[in-house]
Amino acid sequence: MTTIGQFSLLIAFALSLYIIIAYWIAAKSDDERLRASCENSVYALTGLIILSSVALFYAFVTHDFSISYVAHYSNRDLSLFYTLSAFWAGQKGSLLLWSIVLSFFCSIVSIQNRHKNRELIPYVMIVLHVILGFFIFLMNFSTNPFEKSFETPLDGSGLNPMLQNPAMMFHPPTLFLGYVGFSVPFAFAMAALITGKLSDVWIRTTRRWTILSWFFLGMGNLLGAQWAYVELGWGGYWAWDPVENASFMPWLVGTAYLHSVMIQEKKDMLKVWNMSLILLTFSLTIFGTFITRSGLIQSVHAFGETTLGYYFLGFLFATIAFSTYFIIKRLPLLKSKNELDSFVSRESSFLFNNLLFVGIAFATFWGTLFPIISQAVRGIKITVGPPFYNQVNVPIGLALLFLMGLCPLISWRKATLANLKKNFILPFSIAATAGAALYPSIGKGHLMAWLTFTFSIFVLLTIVVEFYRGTKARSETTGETPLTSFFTLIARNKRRYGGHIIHIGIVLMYIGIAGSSSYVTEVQQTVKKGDSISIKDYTLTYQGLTEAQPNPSQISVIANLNVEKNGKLVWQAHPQRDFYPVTRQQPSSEVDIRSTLKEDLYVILAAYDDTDNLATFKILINPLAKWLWIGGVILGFGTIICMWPDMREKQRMMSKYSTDKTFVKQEVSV
Amino acid sequence: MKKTGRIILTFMLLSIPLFASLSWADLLKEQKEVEEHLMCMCKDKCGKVLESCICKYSDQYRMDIAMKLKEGLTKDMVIKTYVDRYGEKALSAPTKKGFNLTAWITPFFAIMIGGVGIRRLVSRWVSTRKDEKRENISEEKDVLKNSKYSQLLEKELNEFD
Repeated sequence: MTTIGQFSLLIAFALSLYIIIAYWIAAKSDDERLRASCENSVYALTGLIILSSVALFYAFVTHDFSISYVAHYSNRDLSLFYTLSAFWAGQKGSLLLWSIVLSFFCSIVSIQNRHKNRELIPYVMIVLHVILGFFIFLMNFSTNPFEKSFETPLDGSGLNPMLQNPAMMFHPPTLFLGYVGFSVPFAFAMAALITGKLSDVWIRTTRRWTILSWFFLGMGNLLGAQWAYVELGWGGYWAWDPVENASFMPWLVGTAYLHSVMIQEKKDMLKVWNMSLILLTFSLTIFGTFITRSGLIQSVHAFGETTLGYYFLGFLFATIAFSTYFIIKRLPLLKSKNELDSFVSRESSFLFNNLLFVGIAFATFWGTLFPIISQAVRGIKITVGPPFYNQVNVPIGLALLFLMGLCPLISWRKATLANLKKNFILPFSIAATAGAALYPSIGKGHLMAWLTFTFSIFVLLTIVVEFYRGTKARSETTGETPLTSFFTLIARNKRRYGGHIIHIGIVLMYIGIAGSSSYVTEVQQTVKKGDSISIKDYTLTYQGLTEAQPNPSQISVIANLNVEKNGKLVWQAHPQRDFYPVTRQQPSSEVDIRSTLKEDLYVILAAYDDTDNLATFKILINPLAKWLWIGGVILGFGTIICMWPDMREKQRMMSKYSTDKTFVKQEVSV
Repeated sequence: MKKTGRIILTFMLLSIPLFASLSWADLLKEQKEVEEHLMCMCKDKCGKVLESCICKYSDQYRMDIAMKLKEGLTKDMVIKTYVDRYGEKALSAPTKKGFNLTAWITPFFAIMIGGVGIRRLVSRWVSTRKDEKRENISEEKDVLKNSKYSQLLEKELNEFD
């Protein structure tokens, strides 16, 4: 099976080269037979990558430790669930994961566009297969997932205990769906530049791809944060680690792009800017992959192989050079009729929104690379940690939050100041009053958090007003009940109201972050059996330790505490320390969390001495932490609404673009 | 873990008389502030700020910091001892002087430049639109002027004159 897997990768590489060359010839010669051959090759290539992946899964499941990757990341005692997730635990498997996701996407793009975008598709496929071919090249000639062990061990090293968490099954694939998904709009953008077909067709074709990729990248980040919160045991969820930053930056720029394309669709403006944004988004996904594999940046997430880093750096430069060349070449065609009726307009507010998103991305990029810059300039290594990002990004993030509330109040084209004042006064007054009322209790010493809450109230009110006005207008016009009008309003304009729901999710995430970062209460205490620890309204009484052996290679020492709140028993906490005497991995801490809408009670077993019946606990109260995850769920719900097929919008697009010849030939994709 | 627990306990028992004479809350507050300024310099390169780190080495750093504060060193002096020992990388963020200042100001400077750029661009687009509107109005006037009714009127006015 290993041989099949290895051989499949080799054939896949050859096939990717064939696809690139054959599609180029087919595009130039308009040879339908060659084109059909290319399409079939795309599906065959997907099949080969699947075969290779199945071979690696099989090796894991059958404990084939003759493969060094399998020996390194699994052992016989590992459950099937984590054995499967070990596939992407390391460098080699993650490259194969990238390849299988991208090959699937190539097949889907081919199927979706069998009867449309005929001029663009050959070049789209060429770009996608250059990317895919690069990853397959690496797996064949640099870092082979099927590389043999020097000596076949009797048992593997096992999976890092920190990775033995359910989020491990979902976090990397979700993140990769996001990373890889942005290859598709990038490929379409490049195809549009190469062919000179620079109408909105490529944007409309890739709109769902963009939203889906943005959604998965966001969810991947959130799942990673959740994993860190539950598994790493320090009470936080985001440490501004370079690898975390690497997945955050493309999401930020992708968000700017999602907003900015609306202006191109409505006003046929910002074509160069949108091209640049999608190039930047894709480049940042490659940059993120480079960061984890270059060894340049120290991170617990990093794989750290230095030679692979050079390949990615070269690929990154080639991508930027190639794309920039074509953008410059097509500048005359990209020039749009750039005009605005007024400075105070939604179009200009979107530009400032873009500025802030790109600004935060730049600040994060700058902070991530500054240690290298400092070493190059001064020869001194420094660290750029959370205090830097918090001090720089939080004020910019606050400005963005405020803009999120302001933008919907401003009309397209031209907003009069009188109209703006009328829309602005009520939500702003209520938010300002609420903020003033909250300041004495939460504002002192926590200015940023207090501003977050005040702005959040403002944004939520503007969204409520949007829904209220729309529902009221509809209800009065149609005679429907308000509830019917509310749902019909959303159904008839999914993009707009789905966007508002996404904004609600984002605001809730802001609230969760502000509460759990700024108002944490913590205590660390060593107690003996029967003693209690008090923190705010809670009293935790230590009951003693128990020992368990969930599997032959793991020993768990579990602390038991009765938790009372205001004198009433509300919970029993069981934080634990896990030890791995067989595999000799680092001990890990498993926290226990009692999560409510108001706060999380977070209990860590820091140390213990069972001889003297002593244990040291670190206990934190994280206010509003749960709202971060709830916000994520609402964001997901809003995304689904945005992406839901809309026949009405499809017909609107058909009538709007019926004069576009390339458009008339194809089915509209909304 | 047992050894660490014993060390912590011994430290705490020995320290009780001393801490009783100092403000416990003040010491804890100072300790926390020092930990927020330092990275955990453990061999595993956990990459965490010392205040958040729970690796086994972080306890040793914490005890060292507590001892130093107890001996009468100020926060800044304690931080300096770590910088002297490990270099600037021991700090959790760049200092705000010299070349390191560029770390802090560059993002805001970039956003400011971007803001000015957008302001100018939008102003240009708005003035382009206004110019176009003026041209359209002037063209409409010309059209009106050159229409057959205008010409007829002009002819009759001339005849009248």
